[in-house]
Amino acid sequence: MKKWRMWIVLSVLCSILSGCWSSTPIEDLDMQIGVALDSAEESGETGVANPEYGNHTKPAKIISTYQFTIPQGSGGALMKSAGNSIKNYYNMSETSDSIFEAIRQLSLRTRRTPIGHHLKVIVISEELARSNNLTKLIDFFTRDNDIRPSVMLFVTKGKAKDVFENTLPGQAPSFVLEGIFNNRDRNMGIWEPVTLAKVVGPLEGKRSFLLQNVIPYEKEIKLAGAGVIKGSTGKLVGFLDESELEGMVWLTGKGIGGVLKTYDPNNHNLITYEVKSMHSKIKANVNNGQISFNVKVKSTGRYAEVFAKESKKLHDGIVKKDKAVLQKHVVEMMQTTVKKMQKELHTEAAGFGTSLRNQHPAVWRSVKDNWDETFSEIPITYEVNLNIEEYGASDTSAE
Amino acid sequence: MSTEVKDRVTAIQATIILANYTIAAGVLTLPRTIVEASGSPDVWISIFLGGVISFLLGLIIVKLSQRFPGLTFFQYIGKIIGKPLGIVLSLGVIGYFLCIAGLEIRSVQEVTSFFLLEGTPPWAIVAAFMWIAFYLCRGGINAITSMCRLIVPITWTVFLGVCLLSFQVFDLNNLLPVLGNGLEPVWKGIRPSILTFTAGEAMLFVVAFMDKPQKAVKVIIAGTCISTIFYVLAVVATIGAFSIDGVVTRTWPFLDLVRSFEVNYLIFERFESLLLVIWIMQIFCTFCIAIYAGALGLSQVIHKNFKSCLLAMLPVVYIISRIPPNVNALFALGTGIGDCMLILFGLLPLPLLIITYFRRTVS
Repeated sequence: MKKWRMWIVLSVLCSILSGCWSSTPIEDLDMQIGVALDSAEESGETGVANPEYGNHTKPAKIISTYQFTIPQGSGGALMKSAGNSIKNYYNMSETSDSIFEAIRQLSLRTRRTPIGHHLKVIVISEELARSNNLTKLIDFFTRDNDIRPSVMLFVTKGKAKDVFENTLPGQAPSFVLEGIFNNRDRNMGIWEPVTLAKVVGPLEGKRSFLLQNVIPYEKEIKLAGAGVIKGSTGKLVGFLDESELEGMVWLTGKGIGGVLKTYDPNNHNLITYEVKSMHSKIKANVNNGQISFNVKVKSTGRYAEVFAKESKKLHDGIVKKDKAVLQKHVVEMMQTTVKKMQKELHTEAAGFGTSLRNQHPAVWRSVKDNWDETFSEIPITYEVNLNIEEYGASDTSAE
Repeated sequence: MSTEVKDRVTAIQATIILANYTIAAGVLTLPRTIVEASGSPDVWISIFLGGVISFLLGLIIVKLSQRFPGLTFFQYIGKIIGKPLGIVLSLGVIGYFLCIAGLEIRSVQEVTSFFLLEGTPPWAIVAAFMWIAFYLCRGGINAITSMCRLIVPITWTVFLGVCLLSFQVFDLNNLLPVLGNGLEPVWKGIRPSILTFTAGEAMLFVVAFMDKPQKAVKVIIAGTCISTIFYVLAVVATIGAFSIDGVVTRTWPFLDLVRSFEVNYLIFERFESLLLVIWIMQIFCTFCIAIYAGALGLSQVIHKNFKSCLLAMLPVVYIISRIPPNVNALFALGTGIGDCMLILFGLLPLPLLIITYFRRTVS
């Protein structure tokens, strides 16, 4: 009797322990690490895009370029490119108005199954982002079960495909783009990483936001400012250049660290301040229905590099003077950014609306439908308080 | 006769059973359902209020059960309102437990086959679940208690850990302003939160097993507090990451929360598989308790062997779990079951308690 039972258990175990029901050997999988989306109608030149572009009813065709890894060690598959450097990625493009169809068309070209578990970045070209609501472009990625909402979004001036061609040897552009956010403590030209999870809310709630702009640069890629997505349309309306993005970082207090460089107005000597921390608070004031904002920025940091004609001890007077110069520069940067949002882009993406909503919910309800236009007329005052905590290892200035 | 109550649980064990029974598949969708109903980030207040209401409903059931020491609802209901009506009501409660079991197992199957085991046939997922549950429930309430106690440290740690890790995508602005639209959205959010608190009905039979039934009130307080903490954490973390606009676009918001961040330099980079595996255990607990309650009720109503009743439950639960043709129907079933709960365990126990009170004083 006991033996009879054991045989049943053994035979059941055989079928259970033989492995997963729907497993696929990892060698047969193609790991997508990046997707670049381009407009198929795009002409070769990267001229100024026409915002009215997407008005025709026929769905615009999209070129989807998928970047796959070539796993280390699968020697036969390694591709040699110029300069004896080894490429550990390859790109495949398909054209369709459906992103899903495009990825399934890849299955006509390769035996291995593309899987999205390790997708890291999506790069969208300016042309496509200007003419299409972003919700449509990312719908497949937010709906899919393999692709995670942690995928980061980028826009690019020019062709998205080109971004995926440029990298240092041995690195895959998608991984570089993902890892570059680790440098946020070193440079304020890096906006916070914007993932799919972080855009579904703003797109649904019609709030504007920024996406980092990435461009091909010599043999690498480079972050160059940010694209502004207008909440009401879900489309790209324009770009902030690198210093405007820095102004935005100061406005929002989202920076972790970086460089603040300016010149002494009297003797044109360089003053460089390294930001160690920053914090910003936007205070909304409502007086008789008149909305105004006051931006208060606090930061601590240190002298990083100071040029002066003759060496001098940094005493309190000099520190105070330098502080004032630096603070003025920060205010100017913020003003430029705000002016761009108010006068040129007519889009508010710095969180002024959020502050108004949190501080004066009733006022916010009355202006939220027309917020971008309302914001264009709102006066904003700035207060910057930098605290130069230390001078590095030298207490005298250079030169 | 195995229908006799012979197993005993302590107050702490009863609390664990109650908490495990309450926390189930609802957490995965609660952030969406509650924000859809209220449209404001103040829903965490709704959950606290929902917890209080759920506690009050549970309290009535506890008071009712305490009047009949050692007897389960199915045994004492006949004494309150007479045998025929009692049987009808018992069958209603049994049906409710079966629906809960069916709902939970279908949710597991949907989530698992979408996120975890794409390609595995639904029946294979469900079958493994049901047979193991059957095996466990044969051991009675003590076996279920041991299992609950076994998984509690694991599931709670993983849940809290995941919520803490999600802090990196948390944005406080998404939860502000507090009460910006007044109290109305808070009221609107209470109903979906109560529907997720399926707590009190477990006390219909758990009190009968308690070695010290007078501690049952403490049990329901502790049980409701634990589940409230879980729900508030899940909802606050999810809204903090997605904002209320984003939460409504996610089918399984809590799972998407866990999917929306990666952690570097920790043993695992991503936690959704871990959470899902753990959460399946949590749902398994609810499932076991529900079919145990159903089978116990049936065996006590028709005076038949408990184990055969348990076996008879399985096909019924399977059929119930197959009824919803799609995910929408599944969610609708969930809401429908919640409404049934409100009628069965929200409205009925109070009159029953009053009847009991008068009968006692008259006699």
